[in-house]
Formats: sequence, structure tokens, C-alpha cells
Amino acid sequence: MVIEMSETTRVQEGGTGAGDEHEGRLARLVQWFDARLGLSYEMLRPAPAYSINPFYWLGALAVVAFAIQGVTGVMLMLYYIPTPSQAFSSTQFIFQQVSYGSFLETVHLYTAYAMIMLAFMHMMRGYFVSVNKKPREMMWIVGMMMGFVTLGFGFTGYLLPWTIVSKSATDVGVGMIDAMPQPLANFLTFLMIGQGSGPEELLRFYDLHVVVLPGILLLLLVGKMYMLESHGVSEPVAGPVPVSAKKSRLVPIFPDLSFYLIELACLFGAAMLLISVAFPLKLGPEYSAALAGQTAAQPDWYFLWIYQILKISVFEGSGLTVALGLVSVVFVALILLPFIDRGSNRRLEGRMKYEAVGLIFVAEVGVLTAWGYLTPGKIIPTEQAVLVLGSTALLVALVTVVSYRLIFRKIATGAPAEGGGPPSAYRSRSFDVASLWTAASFVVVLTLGTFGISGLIGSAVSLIVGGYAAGMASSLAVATGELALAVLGSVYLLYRLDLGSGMIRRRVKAFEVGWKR
Amino acid sequence: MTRGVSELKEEVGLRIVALLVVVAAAAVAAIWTLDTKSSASQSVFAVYLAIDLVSFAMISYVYRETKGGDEISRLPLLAGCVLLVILVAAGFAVL
Repeated sequence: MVIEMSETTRVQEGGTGAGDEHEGRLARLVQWFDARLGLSYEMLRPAPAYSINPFYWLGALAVVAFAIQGVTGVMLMLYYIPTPSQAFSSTQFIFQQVSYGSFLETVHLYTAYAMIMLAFMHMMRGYFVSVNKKPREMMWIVGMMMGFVTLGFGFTGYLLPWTIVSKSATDVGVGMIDAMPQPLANFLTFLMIGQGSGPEELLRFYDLHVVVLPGILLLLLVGKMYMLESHGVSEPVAGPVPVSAKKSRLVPIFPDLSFYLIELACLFGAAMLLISVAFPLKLGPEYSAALAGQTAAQPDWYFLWIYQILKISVFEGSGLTVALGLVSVVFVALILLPFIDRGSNRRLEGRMKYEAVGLIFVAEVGVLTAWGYLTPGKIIPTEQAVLVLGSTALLVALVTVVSYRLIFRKIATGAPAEGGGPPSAYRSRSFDVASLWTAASFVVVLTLGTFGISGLIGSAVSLIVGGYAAGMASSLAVATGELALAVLGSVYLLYRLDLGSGMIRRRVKAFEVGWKR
Repeated sequence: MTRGVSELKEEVGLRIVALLVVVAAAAVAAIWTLDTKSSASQSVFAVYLAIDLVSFAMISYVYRETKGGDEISRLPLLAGCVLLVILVAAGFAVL
């Protein structure tokens, strides 16, 4: 049932069109249902064949995980009692007395983990292939909101078993509210902890987890599905290999794509079941104020990267507000991405800067998460954090730059000399000794810049929090100098590179002093 | 009397689907015989439910491939069959 490529085409055949005489019993059975349920009649936009690919449906798999959590969550609700005195005992009852209770808990937890991981992968895939471009800006923003709601599920659900680890970690999270701006802190206090007593807090978390957040997520999901139906699946990003005509043909949502999604959902469900059997969940000890003091508070893995940032020594005490501000800046930048990355270019070779930033973000989140897991409750010295995070960023940036040069240079070599080839910038460059020298110079400049930025942040925070000190002021001046040198060095190197490739239109003589031609 | 390629594909597809339905039905029957009070049966339940899901995914795949113009790709079917055999064996091992 292949349909001609057209923006407005809708499936017209509905199971009674041409080709029926060649189709057998199985196909006729599906068509029988289709004819009665009207699944393929003018309902859903057909999708291009290239979207029959798991990477296009990571969000759909997150929805499947949400559905599994809904089913298992309702079953758990039958036994769970949301009061501090009975929360742990009722969870223990589910584990020990209810048939398949521990299995149910395990599946509920692991699908939650899978949902968070899939949502993150969905977001990053969207970032790398720039699906946020016109006209999908609002889809991106709604998707980001859905991601925050997913994290909210994790945060509120973590407290419910009332174990030492879950309560202590939630206390750390709730404690951050005080460091937020007053109106926001008041709202969050009202929403999550009320007057601050245990029963009130637990009940509010429970209500948020089982009523408020699912409702919000469903509303956002409906909105996003509507926009998906309106705009269709995003086109594949223009990369080194063009999309074939076969991959561009349109296929109907039912049965082709629906059956494909069923396959994905079934395999995902089977994987969740098998992982739950292989790694069954164990319930930790019950929370008590006396025992809590002996345990290092550690959030669940998806919040570890934020927690690790907060553990950097420069952000201890009053610096917490600055750290939360930095994390908020990352989130706000992600939400507003469609308005930051406004160009219409989706070609990979023209987006090295954004791809590098995305890769650095993923690498930093991974490093911080692993680091946080290995150092529970340990304060991280600022110099160590700068070294680890700076070198990670540097390494990823270098690998990205070199990979870009190698990949797109290779394409340029194989491309025809006239018409339709890549831009001249890629044709004229070669990865020779001069390029290696340039790469090495970039390493030096980036190192200088990394130390400059970290020194600037560190000394600025210390000055804001601790007041004026001569030592800090001189550190600030040195860091500013380092950063200025790094910026100047980068501009010089970029100028030199672009001049070689013929991309500079206006020459700056001051940059060319002592150059040999 | 000669038969078209699509008819042959349909026939092969139907045979595979029939076999998968038998496997899935056997898994469902095995689930019904489990003692729900025993903690060991939890694992068997999960494994047999996974067999049902994998079988269903394979049935769906066969249907899609049968409808398409190309031949049914063997590799995913082979991988699915190997997975089913491993799961059935794992189910028996846990029992």
C-alpha cells in the first residue's frame, strides 16, 4: 500500500483498494478489522518509509513505558498506604505477601528508568538532527515540558517507599527550595511540603505522582500528538548519504506503521520483563531520623549529574543559589533552543558548533553521573572539577572537530569538481601538518579558555557570596585576562583557517603581521 | 496451475504465523499452570510473558513483510527464533 509523495495525501484505500485479489487470508483478516474500525480512513497522516526506524519512535517507546507504569502503578495503589507510619510496611507487604508483588515493583521502577532514559535519548536525537526548526518549535517546547514532568515522576515516586535512601535523597532535593527565589520557593513549598510535616509531605508527593503529573503528561501528550499529526514526521537530516526514493515513499499509519510500533512495543515490554527478572529490586531499610544521619544522601541516577554539580566546593553554602542558577540556565537554554538556533540549515556539515555543544553536554552529563555514583556524599574540590569537566569538554570538542574534518573532507574528495559539490571550504582544505599545528594551537587556546572560565566563575561566586577580598579580586583579574587571551587566540586561529579556505570576505591586516605568502 | 509470488509469500508467512501462535498459546497455557504463591514462579511468569510478546512482535513482522514487495528478511526471523528457544529453555531451567 504505497502512496505517492504529497503533503496533503491521505490514505484512501481503506483495505478495499487495488491489490486485494493478490492478498491472502492474513491480510484479509486485518482488512476486515480495518474496514469496521475505520483505522485507515482519512484519519492519520501517512508517514514516510524512512520513519520505520526505532530512532524516530523513541518518544513513542517512552509513552509505552508510561503506559506500563500506569498499569503496574494502579496495581500497586491497591496495596500502598501513603502515610509515614504505613508507607514502608505496605511496600514491604507488597514485596513479601502479594503474589508477584516484588516483580510488579521491579517492573514499575525499571520502566520508570527506561522512560527517563528514552525521553533523554529522544531529546538529544531531536537536538542533533535539529527537529526544533520551523514549524516544530512548539513541539520541541511541549516535549521539553514532558521531559520535566517525567523527571517530576521520578522525584515524587522516589519518596513513596519511605526507605532511608529515598527519604534522605528527597530531603536534599526539598532542601534546595530554600535557595530558590522567594516566589518560586513559596509555590514549591505549598505544592510539595505544605507545613513541612512528614504525613503532609508524603501525601502531597503521592497525589502529585498518581494524579497531577499523569494528568499534565496526558494533556501535553495530546497536544504533541496533535502537532505531530499536523506537521508530520520530520525529514531526515541532510547528511553525507542522501535519502533514497524508496525510503521517501509514504506508507499509511495503519497497518504498516501501527504494526511496526506494535513490534517495538512488544520487544520493549519483553526486554523490561527480562531485565526485571535478571535484576530483582531489593527494598532498603525503613527511614528513621537516627539512621538517616549515618547514610550519605544520594539521589537516583537521573539526578546525580545535578547533585554532583552542587557538590563542587565552590558552590557549598551560599553558592548553592549560583549552582542552581547555572543548572537552570542549561534547562532554559534547552527549552528556548528553537529561538537560539534559528537558522534553517539542517545539514550536518554546517552545524559543527551545535553538534559539538550537544556532544559536550551528553559527555558532561555522563561523566558527572558516573562521578556522582562513585563519590557519594563527598565534596568535590573546585580545581578537580575544573580539570575533569574541562578536559572532557576539550576532548569531545577536539574529537568532533577532527571527525568533521575527516568525514567531510572524504566526501569532498569524492565529489564532482563542478556543480552540486560541497562548499569550496571543504574542497580546499587538507588534513596536513599545518592542520595538525592548528589543532594543537586550538588545544592550548581551549585549555586557557577552560581555566579562564572556571576561574572567572569561581572568583565571581566567591566575591558575590563572601564579599570583597583582595586575593579574589586579583584571581578574577587573572581569569579575565586568560579568557580574553583565549578569545583573541581563537579569533586569530579561526581567521587564519578561514583565510586559507577563502571564506573571509573582509581582511584584517593586523592579524596578518609576519605571515608568509 | 501456477501461483503468484505474493501467494507463495502469504503461504510461507501463514505457516510461520501458525507456528508462532502455537508457541504463544503454549506459553499462555504454561502461565495458567503456575503457582502464584511461589516466588520462583515470578521469574517463570515473566519469561513466558516475554515469549508471548516476542511471538506477537514476530507475527506482526511477518505480516508487514508479507504485505511488502520484497522477500521476507530471514535475519530478524532467525534472531527471533533463537531468542524464543533461549527463553523457552530459560523458562524450563527456572522451573
